[in-house]
Amino acid sequence: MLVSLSFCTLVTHNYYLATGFLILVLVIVAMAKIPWPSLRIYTLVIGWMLTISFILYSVFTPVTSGPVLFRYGLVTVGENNVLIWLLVAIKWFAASYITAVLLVTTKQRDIILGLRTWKVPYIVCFIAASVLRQLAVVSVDFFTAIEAQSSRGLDFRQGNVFKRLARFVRVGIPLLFVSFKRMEDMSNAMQSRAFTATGKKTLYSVLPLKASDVVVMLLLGGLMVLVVANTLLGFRLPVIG
Amino acid sequence: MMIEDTVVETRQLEHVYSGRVRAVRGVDLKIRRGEFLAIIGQNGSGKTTLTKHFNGLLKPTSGDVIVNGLNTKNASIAQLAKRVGYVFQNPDHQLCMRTVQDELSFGPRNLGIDPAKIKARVDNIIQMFDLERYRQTHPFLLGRADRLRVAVCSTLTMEPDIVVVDEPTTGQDMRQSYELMEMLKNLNGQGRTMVFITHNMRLVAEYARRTVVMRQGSIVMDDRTSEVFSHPDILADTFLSPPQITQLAQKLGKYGIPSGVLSVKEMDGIMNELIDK
Amino acid sequence: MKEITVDSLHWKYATSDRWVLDDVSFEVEQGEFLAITGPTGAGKTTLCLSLTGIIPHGYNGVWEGIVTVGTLDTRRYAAASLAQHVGIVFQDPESQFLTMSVRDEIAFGLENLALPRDEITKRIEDASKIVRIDDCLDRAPYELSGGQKQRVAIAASLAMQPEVLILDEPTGQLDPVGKMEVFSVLEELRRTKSITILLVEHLTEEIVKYADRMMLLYNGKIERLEKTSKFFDDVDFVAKKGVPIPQVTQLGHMLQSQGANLSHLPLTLDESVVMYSRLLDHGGK
Repeated sequence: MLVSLSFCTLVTHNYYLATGFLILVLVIVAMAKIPWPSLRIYTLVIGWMLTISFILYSVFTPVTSGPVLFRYGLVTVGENNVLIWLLVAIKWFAASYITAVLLVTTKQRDIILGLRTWKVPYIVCFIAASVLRQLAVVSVDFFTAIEAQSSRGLDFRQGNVFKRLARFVRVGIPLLFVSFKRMEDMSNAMQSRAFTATGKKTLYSVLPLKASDVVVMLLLGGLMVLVVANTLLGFRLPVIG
Repeated sequence: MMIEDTVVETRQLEHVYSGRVRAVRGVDLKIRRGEFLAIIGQNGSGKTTLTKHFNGLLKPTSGDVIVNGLNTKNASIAQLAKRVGYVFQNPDHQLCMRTVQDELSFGPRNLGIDPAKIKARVDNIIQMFDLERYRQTHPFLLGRADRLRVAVCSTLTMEPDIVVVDEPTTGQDMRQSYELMEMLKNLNGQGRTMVFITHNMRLVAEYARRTVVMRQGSIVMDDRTSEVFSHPDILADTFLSPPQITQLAQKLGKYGIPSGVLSVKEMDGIMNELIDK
Repeated sequence: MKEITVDSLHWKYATSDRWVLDDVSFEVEQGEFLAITGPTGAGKTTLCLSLTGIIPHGYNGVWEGIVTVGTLDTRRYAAASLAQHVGIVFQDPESQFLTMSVRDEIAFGLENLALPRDEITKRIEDASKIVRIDDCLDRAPYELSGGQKQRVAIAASLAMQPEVLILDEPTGQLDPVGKMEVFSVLEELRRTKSITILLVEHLTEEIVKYADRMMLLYNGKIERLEKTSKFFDDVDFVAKKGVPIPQVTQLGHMLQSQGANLSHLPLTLDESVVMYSRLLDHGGK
């Protein structure tokens, strides 16, 4: 449901639909009691990106149609440009908050079981599971490497943004080495458990599909089709009008 | 004991992770200059959390940590790196340069040390620890034991007064572990304060003059190593056992063998005395 | 019956300048517990990988000789095919945990063997009971301690019902609690199952309690292969090769060289208490 909502929000050009989806996302966030710290990083990042894109739209995008809201020197802010910017803002916030909801409410294991239930090829499921599994492990390595380099006098909080980025290279190197070593160990472990990329396998853990799951999926699929049709062909349901 | 002999002092140190997990609970600890100290305890007892306060990687939730007179709350990690060297359990997390020589130069360069001084320090350490043949080698091409040695040496070129080594024996065989401990012993002999965290009780018995036992964030015992190992019941609470030779001495206590025997040689001497009697 | 036969095995990696395994020959009986010890770089891990087919099929190098597990020549079968016959547990608890729950981890190998679901369920139950993690089946890897993860790895191998189980320094990265957990599982396996076990381990004070025989591997060669009771008869030789001697054995060696009358060198704490008490009672005679 979250994925399809995200898809619909990103695809639509309709302001009413996009706003409606954003409101729906905010309701879901409230119902799921997503803590503010989980949303903060997205809000900060999206906020910065929107600020930068607003400047780009205003200063560098010519106002070719519609009324001009504001003009000063090189800066021209046209109504249409602001509306486009607003649509982008709604989409980005909706999509990022949906991501937060997904990460907070969904166990990684359930994501993989969902993929299996959808009969996604085994090798893809396994790769997805390995990526999710290793994310946690690599993040521990990442923070340990930061601590290790800090202990050698590397201050990640001083200096301009380029100097700080350069310091992170010093963290990346040990991370790469540790990861390569781990890949070798993983590969040996997989072989020792009779893993092959192809061949018949039993899917032991799957999420059983209930009738209600199928109904919801059909409805969401239908919603996605309608949104695409509305975007590409201008198709409208009489209700939306 | 005079105050200026104390290189690290923690005063009612508390550290709470994520607002919930109390990893260090009201710890008071004084480490004196020139000590060779082991900190032992099972995983989760707070050993690493405690030692990460020494070089400012962690700041106290409450209480204070004073390192060579400097309160860590007011000091950056870089400032503390001049005083406290920290060697991590996995040396691979520390190594990031193309040659061993560059690796040894990395720390002092970050501290803004003069290049001529850096060269002198690096040459000195390379000579002291027999690394000349690896000078131009990429650290990741070395075996694990040598990588750990390079990691320790790269800390030493910063010339810290205190060196903390977290688990110097992981992934090493006994001979390599002993070689590293001899290295630390030499450094201690030169006046550097050594703190090591380990699960290897044999090494604790043979090298640490003082042992701190931690359990659930608190210090349950802090004494001479022989005294600590004389209390197997307290150690058992922390799921630790003294070295085998100490356990043997304790089981033969009825013959008058002291309970704090730390080495085979010591036990041999005692047994011979008893047999001669 | 010989479970494993290694005949003049030579192996060097594509990047090695010398043989990493140099003319290694030995046999292991069915149900035997063989401990392999030796300094770092001796070739212990390489030997383990050679018994599973991961070497030579997963690594580039030069192979000479024959390794047979049961009746299977490892040169002719991929590691994945041999996995049903020889399981292996590695040192790093993190890298060998491939899935997202204990149950999935034990099931992983069984899924690859395309076993029916009922059979998988039964094997998960049995294996998790042996290693005593049957109460953790739905836990994620980040919720487990190192010792628990290693027990899961053992269960994952056992569930495939191999004839041979190889453990390559399984306690190397564990704390004392984790180490004891793994050793108690090995003790249980030894007591209840007829599985052949090969254990690579540095903690000689522990392995003398379980191993039928011990092997000393040094620079790719077998320097000693003896019953455990006789392995430390030449203490100086073994010590020189970098193998830690149990402290109670070291003490016996010193006392013997000083004239004490000991029938043999004790290997375990309990044995040494009895022997040294007798010695002290009789004044060294």
